[in-house]
Amino acid sequence: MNTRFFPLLAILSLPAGALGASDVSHIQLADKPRLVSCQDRPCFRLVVNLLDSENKPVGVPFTAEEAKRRIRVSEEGGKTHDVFHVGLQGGQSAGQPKPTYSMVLLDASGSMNQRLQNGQTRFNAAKEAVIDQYLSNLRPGVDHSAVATFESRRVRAGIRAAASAFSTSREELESRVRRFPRPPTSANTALYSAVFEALQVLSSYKKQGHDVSLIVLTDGKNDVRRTDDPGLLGPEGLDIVTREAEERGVEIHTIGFGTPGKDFDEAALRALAWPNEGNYYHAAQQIRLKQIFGAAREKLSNRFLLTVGPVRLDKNQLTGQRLRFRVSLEIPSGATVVSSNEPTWSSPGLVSPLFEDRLDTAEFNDLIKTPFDSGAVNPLLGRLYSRGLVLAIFGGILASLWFGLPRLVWPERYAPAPPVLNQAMAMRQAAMRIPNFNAPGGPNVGNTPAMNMAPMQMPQYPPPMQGFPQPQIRPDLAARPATEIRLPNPSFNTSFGKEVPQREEPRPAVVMPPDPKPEPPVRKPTDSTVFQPLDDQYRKK
Amino acid sequence: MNLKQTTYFMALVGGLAGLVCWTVQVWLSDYLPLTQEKQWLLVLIHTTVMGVLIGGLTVGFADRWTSDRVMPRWVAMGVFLGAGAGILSGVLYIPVFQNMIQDSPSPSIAFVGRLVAWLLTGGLIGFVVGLRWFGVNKFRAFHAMAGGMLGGSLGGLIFSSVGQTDLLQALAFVISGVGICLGVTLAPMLLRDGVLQFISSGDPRAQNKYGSPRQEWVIQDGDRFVLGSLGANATMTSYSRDVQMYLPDAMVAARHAVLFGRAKRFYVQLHPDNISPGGQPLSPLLIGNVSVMGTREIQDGDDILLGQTLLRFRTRKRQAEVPQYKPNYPVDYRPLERGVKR
Repeated sequence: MNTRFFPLLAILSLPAGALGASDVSHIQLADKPRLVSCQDRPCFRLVVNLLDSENKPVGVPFTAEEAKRRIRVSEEGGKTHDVFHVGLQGGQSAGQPKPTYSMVLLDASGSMNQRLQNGQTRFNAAKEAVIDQYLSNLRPGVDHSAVATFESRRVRAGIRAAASAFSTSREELESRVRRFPRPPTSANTALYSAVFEALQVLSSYKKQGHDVSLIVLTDGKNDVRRTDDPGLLGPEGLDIVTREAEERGVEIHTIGFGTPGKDFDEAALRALAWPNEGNYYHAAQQIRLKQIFGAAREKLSNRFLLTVGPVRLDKNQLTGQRLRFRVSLEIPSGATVVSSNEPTWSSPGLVSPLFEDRLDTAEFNDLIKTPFDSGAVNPLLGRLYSRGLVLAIFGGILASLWFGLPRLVWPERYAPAPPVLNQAMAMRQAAMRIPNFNAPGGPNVGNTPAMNMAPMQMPQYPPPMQGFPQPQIRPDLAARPATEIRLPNPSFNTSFGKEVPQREEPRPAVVMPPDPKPEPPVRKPTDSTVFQPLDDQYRKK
Repeated sequence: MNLKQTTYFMALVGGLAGLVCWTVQVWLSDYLPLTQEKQWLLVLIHTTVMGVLIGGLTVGFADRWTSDRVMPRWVAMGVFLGAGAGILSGVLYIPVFQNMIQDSPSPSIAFVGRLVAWLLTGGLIGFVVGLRWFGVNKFRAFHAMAGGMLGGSLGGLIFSSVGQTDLLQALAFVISGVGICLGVTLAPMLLRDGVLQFISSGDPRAQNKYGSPRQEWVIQDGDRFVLGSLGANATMTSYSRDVQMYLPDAMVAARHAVLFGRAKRFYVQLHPDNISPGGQPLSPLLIGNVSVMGTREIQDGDDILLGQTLLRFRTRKRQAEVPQYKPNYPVDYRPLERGVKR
């Protein structure tokens, strides 16, 4: 029996006036759903905050076991999954608190010198809120924080310098904040560049597996001018920064100080808030500012971790899928509160889904207590078997398609090579007026043929083609017996310089009949497209 | 091989590439722990493997079938360019994933995003494969790209809709590879203006290589093919061939003739290397039994004789109307008979 009272710890860490379960108005998912491996089955890890109507975190007096029964996680399509592990994200379930890294960015532009109703400047009010509500709740050795100011000059250097000194010591951080100078009156607000730089810093801690958070306070719009540092992000920077936040997965709280629209760009701050605009706050007075900083601190340190699943039997079943989870909690009064935002999980477009992590010890201990069919076969052997089978099937299909089917469809491709066709040779010889010595009955047949080759046979394959121009032997040559044709060269009967045995009986002398009387050349049109000069006979005609 | 066989075997080559690619990615996805933000890395590996396999295999098999030998440097260049195309498509996948898949407001847009990712991969790999024919006709690379895009999106359609088990996922990858290679091969065929058929040859090498079944070369308008017997190892190029229609015939010159198409009309001429200083052909070129000295237009059914090799030009498209010479006097076209005077 799990006897850990996870919410109790949360309640204890809440500021005075912490609310009860009945005050939970909605649930906020603080991060994207993460696909984790439950013994090679796909499970999802969700990080949630329980919030009241003013967006402040609240605790609920449930044990972990009771929370498992009361919390339901359902997919967008209506499929509901079991929650087999509930814990505080801070790591109490694992025994060791998990370090957190958070950064506070305070606007130090000239407008922050405006005075509030109580006579304080906005900048001093912000410093006081940070010290009183944010730094005072740091867990020593666990919560690492850095506080930096930004305006429109030395933005990068200022943030990098602050980031180099993350500290868990409240006193050290407080003294740094108190030393912040008064903002220069001519300074502008490089809001987008500052957030961008802070994301670069925090993402390095995110990569190491820490929980990270960024809080940005501003009373102005992004305002970068020619006299400011080069390279600062202008109006187009909002899109760049929001993409960067999405890619880095860093939680961003944005606080607008003053009057929306008049003092600061509310739409931009809503867009910058990540994972959704639920992390945007508006403060007009210092007391509200303190509440916001306190809530932001609590949201970071009092998150609940829900591990659900297995959502499918195999992770490949998530290929091409897009899941949106809805978390609901049944509170003691009987009412049900649901998540206000539902970040989606999407499988990659071109490959199988990947596990982002494996279960930690506490999650694994809870998993084996639940009725969960982990499979009788060793997962690795099972995968080897199934994938080997798939490979064998497709390999066999491809091999049969490569080697088998073509033999049936195109048998001629695999038939023994036919004798060399001399159809082309005949055509060429005819065109060049060369008699075919290899033809049956020709002078080479029965004698030593050229190249010491056997007498060539007239082609029987393929059948005569339709429309193919038949070789036209010169009529006078065609009429003569082939045996009467004289070999053009006596050395024709030698091959590669070797002696070729001569026939014992000399061949009868070939007597060539005299050529008929030559006729006067007759010009005839050879091609209709070729210009032919007028001929005398045409003139006569 | 004729066109049907070329298409068939190239599709199988693509299927083989897809199967290998699935094997690689499915094992990597099990043992490569990556967050959602870094999953593009596996996609990059996948597209690179796909590009490498298709780029290398298509060059290797095409040369084995229609060249005298498989040149390692050409295959290596195919692998290199395929890897480049794969890497580029993997990089282009990142914004597609972020904007259309991950943050899409509806599942249908995410589905379209996956198709777009596959389409990009297929198109880029197809373009690289088509680059081999860039010297013949620069549009051929884009035709192959269009074919690859079509085939890739077909594979992506199957992958995204039914790729939920090992068997179906492997099927989807195989069909993706088949689709890309099929598209790359089919696109020039569908756009062809004519075909040059091998009929027969007196040289056993050419006859055995192309005789059964008869080899066919696809010809498009704008192409410029060199026909000859120049061996692959004698060429200096690193990817494409010097002689696009290789004829292993002892009586065919290294670079024998040039076949080219302009404005839907096709011509054959002697290659300059095949002309003696005296202006006579070193190795004869005959079209329809008539020796060609300069440039000669070829029509449907014309027989082209190079050395001992006979080719036939076939086109289904109507030849452009050409102005015919019409003499303004009566012409008697009756065949002349010996001894008969008109």
